[in-house]
This record gives sequence, structure tokens and C-alpha cells, in this order.
Amino acid sequence: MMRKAEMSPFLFLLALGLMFWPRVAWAIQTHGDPEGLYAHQLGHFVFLIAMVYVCWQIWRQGFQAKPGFTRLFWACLLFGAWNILTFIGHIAEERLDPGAIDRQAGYFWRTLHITDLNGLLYYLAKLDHLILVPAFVVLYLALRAFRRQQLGVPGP
Amino acid sequence: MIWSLTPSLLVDMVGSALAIILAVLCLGKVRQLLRQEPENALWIFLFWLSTALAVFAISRSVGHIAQHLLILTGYRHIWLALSPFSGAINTFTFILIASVTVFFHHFQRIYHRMSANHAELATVSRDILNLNRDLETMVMERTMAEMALGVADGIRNPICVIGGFSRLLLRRLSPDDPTREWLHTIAAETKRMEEMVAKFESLAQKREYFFSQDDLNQVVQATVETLGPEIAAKKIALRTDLWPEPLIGKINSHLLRVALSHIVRNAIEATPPGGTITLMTRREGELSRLLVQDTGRGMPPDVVEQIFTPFYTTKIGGSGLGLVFVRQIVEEHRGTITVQSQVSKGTTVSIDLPQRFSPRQDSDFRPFS
Repeated sequence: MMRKAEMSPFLFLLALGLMFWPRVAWAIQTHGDPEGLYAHQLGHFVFLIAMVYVCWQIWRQGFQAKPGFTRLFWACLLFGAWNILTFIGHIAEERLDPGAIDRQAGYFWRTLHITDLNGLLYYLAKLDHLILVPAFVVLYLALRAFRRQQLGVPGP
Repeated sequence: MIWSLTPSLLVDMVGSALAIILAVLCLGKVRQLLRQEPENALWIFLFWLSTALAVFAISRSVGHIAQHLLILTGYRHIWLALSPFSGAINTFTFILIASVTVFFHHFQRIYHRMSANHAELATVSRDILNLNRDLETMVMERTMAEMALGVADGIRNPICVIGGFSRLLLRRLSPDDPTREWLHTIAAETKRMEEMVAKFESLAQKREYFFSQDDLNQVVQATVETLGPEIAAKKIALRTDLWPEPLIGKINSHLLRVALSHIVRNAIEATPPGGTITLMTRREGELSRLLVQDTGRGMPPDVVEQIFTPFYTTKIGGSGLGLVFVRQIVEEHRGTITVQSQVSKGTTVSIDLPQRFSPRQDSDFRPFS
């Protein structure tokens, strides 16, 4: 048999008090602009951790001697490096002086006035595909090596 | 210093296009791997990783290309509206890649455990197969001996009578009696049949090859050496109390060790850390007694009653055949096995084997009919 619900006198008085002295309810908190950037940066961080984990697993299990695993190891290392570069790039972009980029000649012909390390990092981070594309190339080579191994084709 | 951003823009656009192409190629390659071996854990992981990377490459690259094209063609405002979505999707793909890796970490642990269990199962299965083969050999030899002795027992007396009378008649007949040659033939054939009976009887002796003169105490010591580390690992005290004199008998020490190991393993499973397992041998008149006592959880009477029933088990994943084999081994040694148990107090398994036990004597065999 179900027990009849009872409210203690203390809780009743508390509920009554809250009814007469209301405050703003902070049930939903809307954050400002940086929330998106922070979430994105956290995303880069967990991506980096995941790649480091895969590298560590390959290293730990001694698979790095086999061609497929060696390439997978390097692919993950490159993806990790890409995350570090873009992570730094986002920070550099936030800190970049808006006047450092000259747009007078048009979007295609923009120039960057590099006066400090931050400007240089921003420029380098903009070339992130020089790491990302090789990472995908090495990943593809790793998968191809695994496939060749699966088919019993000799060679790397 | 002033650097042009045009190279970075070109690298971004070309790189984005290449990233999409390469990600799709990776996905295609890993699908080939998975199609051939759909249950390979590494291919499954690489498939999901490549899928997540492809989603990331496509969403990011499309975003980057769209950004440049929209701005270059004067639709900056559209890009500004799309930009948060593009960034959010990119963030989502990062989390997806990390999730796939985390999931694989757990998946790998389960997979390794399953592989270990599979290997263990294969070992146990092989042991059972070997044991079964030994038992079959033993049963076959016993059956053969029983048949041989049964046949021999059935025809020995009539042949003796025929042979005896034929030889008696030969002595009484005159040398020129024409039936003498026939009697010679009867006597010779009877002699052959007597020899065949003797051969049949010798078959029973062959069974002895399966058994050898061994000391039961040595069987116990060998088992202790094998299972000692397992017992110590569970922090269980092991007490051995062996009869001071050798308990020699015609035994199959391999089979007895298998049987004893099974009983001791059961004791290890049932005994909590801090408990005690005792192995004891005694001479009880004409019998050698082997006792395995544990201070484990014990069993209720209804479980003890069914303990030797084939396929009856209280263990998860147990075959219910272990103790059936144990009893068969003991019975093949012409022994008996009894189990006494009390819940929360422990279990005692007692095996009685005949002293200098040998294969069944001729008189033990039932005539084959």
C-alpha cells in the first residue's frame, strides 16, 4: 500500500517564504560570445587527447614496427600537431589587432602587418592545411598498408 | 614586416578540397578492410575514426571554401549568418572523434577480455577432449577385456570336455580303427580352440598397460605443485597431510591428477581468501583414502545430491561435466567417491581406492552373454 505523501512543517514554511520573497530564477544561463570559441577550443583539446591516446596505444603495444601502424602513428601525430597549431591560431586571431590586416586591395589580396609573435603565429596557423593534408595522406597510406596486408600483397 | 595573405587563402582553398578528397578515399579504403573482416576490432575502430574524420573534413572544408567564395562574390552577410553553424559543426566533429576513441578504449578492453576467455575456453576444451579420449580408451579396453573373458568363459568348459573326451577316445581306440583319423582332427581343432581361449584371456591382461605401479602420495604432491600458486594467489592456506608410507597401487597417475585437480579447483573457487584447503591421504584397511577438505561456502543437500548428474552445474559458464568425469576416473580405478558438505562450513570430497588396486580380476568380470 502506498504511503500518503506528507510535508514537514519546516518545508511548508520554507515554500511559503519563497513564495513571498521571490528572486530571479537562474535556470537557464546564456553565456556571451566567447562560449562558442571556448567550446571549439575544448573540442580541439579533446581531439588532441584522442590522437595522443591512439599514438600511445600503438607505441605501448609495440605495433609501430609494422608499416600500417607506423603510418597510423604518424597520422595521429600530425592530427595532434594540427590541433595544437589551430588551438594557438584561434588564440592569436582573438589577440590580433584588427588594423593588422589590410583589406584595401580586396579580400583576395589582403596583407598582414606582422609586428609581433602573435601576428606570426596567426599567419602560420592560417597555413594549417600544410599539416592537415599530410595527416590525411599518411592516414590513407596507413589504411592502404593495412589493406595490402589483408590481401597478402607484399611490400609496404 | 608585411606579408600577403593570398598564399594562405590559396593553401586554405586547395587544402580544403584535398582534405575532402583524401577523407573520402580513407573512408573507401577502410570500408574495404571492414567488408572483408567485419568482426575485426581494429577495422571497426578505424572505420568509425575515418567516418568521424570524413565528417570533420567535409564540414570544415565546405565551410572554408564557402567562406572564401561568398566573401569574394560579395555575399559576406550570408557567410556571417552561416559561420556560427559551420563552427558549431566543426566542434561537434571534434567531440565525435574523441568519443569514437574513448568508446574504442572500452571496446578494446572488452575485446581483450573476450579473447582471453576464448583462449581459456580453448584450453579447457582441449583438456576435456584429451581427458575424454583417455577415458574412452580405458572404457574400450575394459569392454574388450570383458568381451574376451565372457567369450572365453562361455566356451572354455565345452571345449575342455570335447578335447578331453576326444583324447580319451583316441587312447582307447585300436590303432587300425578307421574313425581314429577323424578323432585326431577333432582333438587337433579342439586344441586350437583352447589356445584361442587362452589368447582371449590374455587380452584382459593388456588392460594393465593403461595402469602402472604408482604412489598415490606422489599424485597428490604433483597436483599441489601445479595448483599451489593458484591457491596462494587467492590467499588460501594449503595443508597437506600425507600418509608416511607410499600408497602404491595400479593407477593411471595422469587421470588421477586430472580428477584431483578438478576437485581442488572447485575447492579454490568455493573457498574465500583466508580459508583453508586440506589434502589428506590415509590407509584404511584395504583402501587408500584421499580427502580434499575446504572451508568454503559449502552446498545444500539438494545440490550435493545432483553433483554427479551430467550437465548439472551451479557455475556460470560451467559445463556440468567435470565431476562426472571425476567419478568415472575414480570408478575406472575401482574406487568410490563421496561428497559431504555443509552450507557456510565447507565441503569434504572423499575418494577410496583399493590398496594395490589392479584392473578387475577375472572373477570380477561378468560373463559375456
